[in-house]
Amino acid sequence: MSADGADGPKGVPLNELGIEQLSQLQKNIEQELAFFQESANTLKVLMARNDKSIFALADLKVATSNHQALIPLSESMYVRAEIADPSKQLVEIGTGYFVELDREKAKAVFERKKENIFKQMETVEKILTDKRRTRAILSEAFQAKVQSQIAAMGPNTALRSSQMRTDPLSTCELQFFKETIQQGQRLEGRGREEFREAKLVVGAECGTAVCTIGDTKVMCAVSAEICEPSSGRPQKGVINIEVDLSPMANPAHEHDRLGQKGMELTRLLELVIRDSRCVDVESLCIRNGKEVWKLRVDVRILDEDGSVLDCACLAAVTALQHFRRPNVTLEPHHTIIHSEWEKAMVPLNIYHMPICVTFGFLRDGNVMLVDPSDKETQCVSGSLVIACNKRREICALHQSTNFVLTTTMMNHCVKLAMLRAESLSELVQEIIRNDSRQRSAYCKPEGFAISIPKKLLNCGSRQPQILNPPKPLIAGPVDDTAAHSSTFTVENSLREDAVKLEEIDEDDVIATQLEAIQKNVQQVEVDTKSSAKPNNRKREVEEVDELLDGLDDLDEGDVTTLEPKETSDDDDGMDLLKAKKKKI
Amino acid sequence: MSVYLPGDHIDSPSSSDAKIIVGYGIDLQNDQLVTVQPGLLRTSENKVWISVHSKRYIPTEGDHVIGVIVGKAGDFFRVEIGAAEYSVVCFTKFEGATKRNRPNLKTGDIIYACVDDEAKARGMGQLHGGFLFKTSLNHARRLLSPTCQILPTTGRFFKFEITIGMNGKIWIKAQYSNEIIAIYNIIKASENVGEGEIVDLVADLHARFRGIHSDS
Repeated sequence: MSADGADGPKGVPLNELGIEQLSQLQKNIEQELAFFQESANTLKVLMARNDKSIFALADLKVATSNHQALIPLSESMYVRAEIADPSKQLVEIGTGYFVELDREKAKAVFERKKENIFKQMETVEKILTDKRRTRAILSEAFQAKVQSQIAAMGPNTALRSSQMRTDPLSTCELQFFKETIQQGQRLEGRGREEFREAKLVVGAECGTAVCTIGDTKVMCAVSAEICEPSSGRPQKGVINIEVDLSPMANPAHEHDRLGQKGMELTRLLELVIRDSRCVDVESLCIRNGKEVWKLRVDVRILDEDGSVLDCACLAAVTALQHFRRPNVTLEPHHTIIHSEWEKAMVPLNIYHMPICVTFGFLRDGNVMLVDPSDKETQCVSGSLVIACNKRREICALHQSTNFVLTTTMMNHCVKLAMLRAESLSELVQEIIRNDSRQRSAYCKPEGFAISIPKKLLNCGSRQPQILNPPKPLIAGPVDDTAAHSSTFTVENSLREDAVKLEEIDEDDVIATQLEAIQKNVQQVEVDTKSSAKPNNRKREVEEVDELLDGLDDLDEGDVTTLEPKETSDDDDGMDLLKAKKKKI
Repeated sequence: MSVYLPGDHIDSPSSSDAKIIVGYGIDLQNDQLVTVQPGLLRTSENKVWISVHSKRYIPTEGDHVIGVIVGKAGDFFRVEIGAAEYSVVCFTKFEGATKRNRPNLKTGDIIYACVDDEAKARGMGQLHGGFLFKTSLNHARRLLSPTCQILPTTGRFFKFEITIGMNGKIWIKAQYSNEIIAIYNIIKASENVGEGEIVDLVADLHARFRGIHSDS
């Protein structure tokens, strides 16, 4: 058997084997190793048992007939018995056969057995060391193969990820990002190892939170309902995580369809929040096997600019901290769920807060970027997510795409992630503490209203902000009031005298405007009566004259055919034509 | 200044006999002006439109836009301009291009183009180098407005080229990449700043840029 295993890798050069074959071989070797390890273990056990028997024989030497002894029936139960004839023993010679032998013979049997086992053990040990060596060689070859394959794939990975998006990465952006990242500069003016500012707001309702990191914005809402637990875990509550990628965040997203990216996000959130056991699910049990609380964590991506998982995780953790479930009372045959006003709501039991941190890697993992933005994510060749808590425990580690990271780089990333986790945990705790203080003082919480930038609201009503197109020149009377109001806005606000405009007494302005309106109304009336119509008429007459002059050169017939067209357009025109004809 | 939400009715301006030109975000339904986009109502003479804060571009004829080439299909380039669908540009429409002499554009290159049926390049075409980024549509419109002070003020401090597409894509080119970053930050930061404070903002950001520059 040992010869078979050794021949495989020796007969064919290892380098020529494909990755799949290598992994198959590795698996075989692992299996064989496990088998031999087991047999070695059983041999050791046998040896120990044999040794015990030899000692027992030595002990029996001093025994006489009718000697009393404790005979073990199990590990810890004995029977008092008398030895009838200590010179003879029943010795097991294998497969359930026993032979009555005297002391000397029995000892010889045991000695022979011992020798046998020892020989077997030696051979097995030899095989084991052999197999271990082959395994080491194989795994080395496998690693080398994988690395070479990644190197061949390397430049394509970035391209593939950018092709899947609807917002494509242009070459100039790629060039720019690569250049600036090399120089250690980034768009927001931060360094390669600087995080963006994270902002957290908790809602007026319990269990809601909005988190923004840079332009990424995620809203999270936690709700609870009572349901039946699964039969496998009758005493544990359930946590469900639902992710929704809103089309508002990225036009590539569709409602109710997660796609690859959404699925990855959901799985990672489940890994970080559910599988790291940060929430005490046992305390969510109401009635064993019948009723438990089911928590639903709704994560909604509102805007996307890289590090979505970091933002989503922070929002979810905050929302879970902020959440209060209704209190319940157990009656013999039913459960009473109390409203907020009957009994105080109960917060969740949370053991720790996992915080995710995303790292992007360029150039096969040699250059590291902390907290990459959306465009930077498209430029990097892979990313690493580390989830840890403030107690410096790593809760999850996820690497996307294939590249090999050095240990020092990994250690550095973990250190950065832990620092970030500490500061963000503090932020979350502070937010939650402030909120609970406000609530206990019966203040109405402000909720998400504070997250609307005040600048945006003010800015819209500012006068100089109004942008009017250059005023077109219109002939004829112009409404003076309209002109007046638009001069305000077109005015260059940067000029020094721009300020003066605002200081004008409002009453005066209104008075002058009123005057202007009155004047205009009179003018317009006068205009319509006297000047406007005759002007039009005069122009029309001229036009018709020109037309007819041109027509004079043509036949009489043509003119007559043209006539009805003109009449349909304009009554005055017809009259004029007639007049003209008379003239002719 | 009032905020309108989709479905709100707009009262017609006082002079009812004058023709009203209806602009973006407003629809005529049963002789009533109804808003179809949320935003602020703007009026100028006999024109009304809604000023909307939006990130998604809806193509309008005559708009000058910046697009990213995403592929080739026969005689056409497929171009992404931030709208719901890709748009196409025939290669013969480029300046100096003939049937034989095709423009050499690859996937990922960016072009400045006009949304229309005309066959003229009129100085538009490929943009070389530089940096491309996106802002909201109304910020792009604001930058293009002749009364806007952002670009003239920035121009006093930096030397750069800029092309602004109506689809919110902006292309800038300067000699050094840290200058590009500074200009990018100015444009991004000016979105929520009133016209009166632009000078202060630009001067402040420029001073910060210089401070970092001299240190390094």
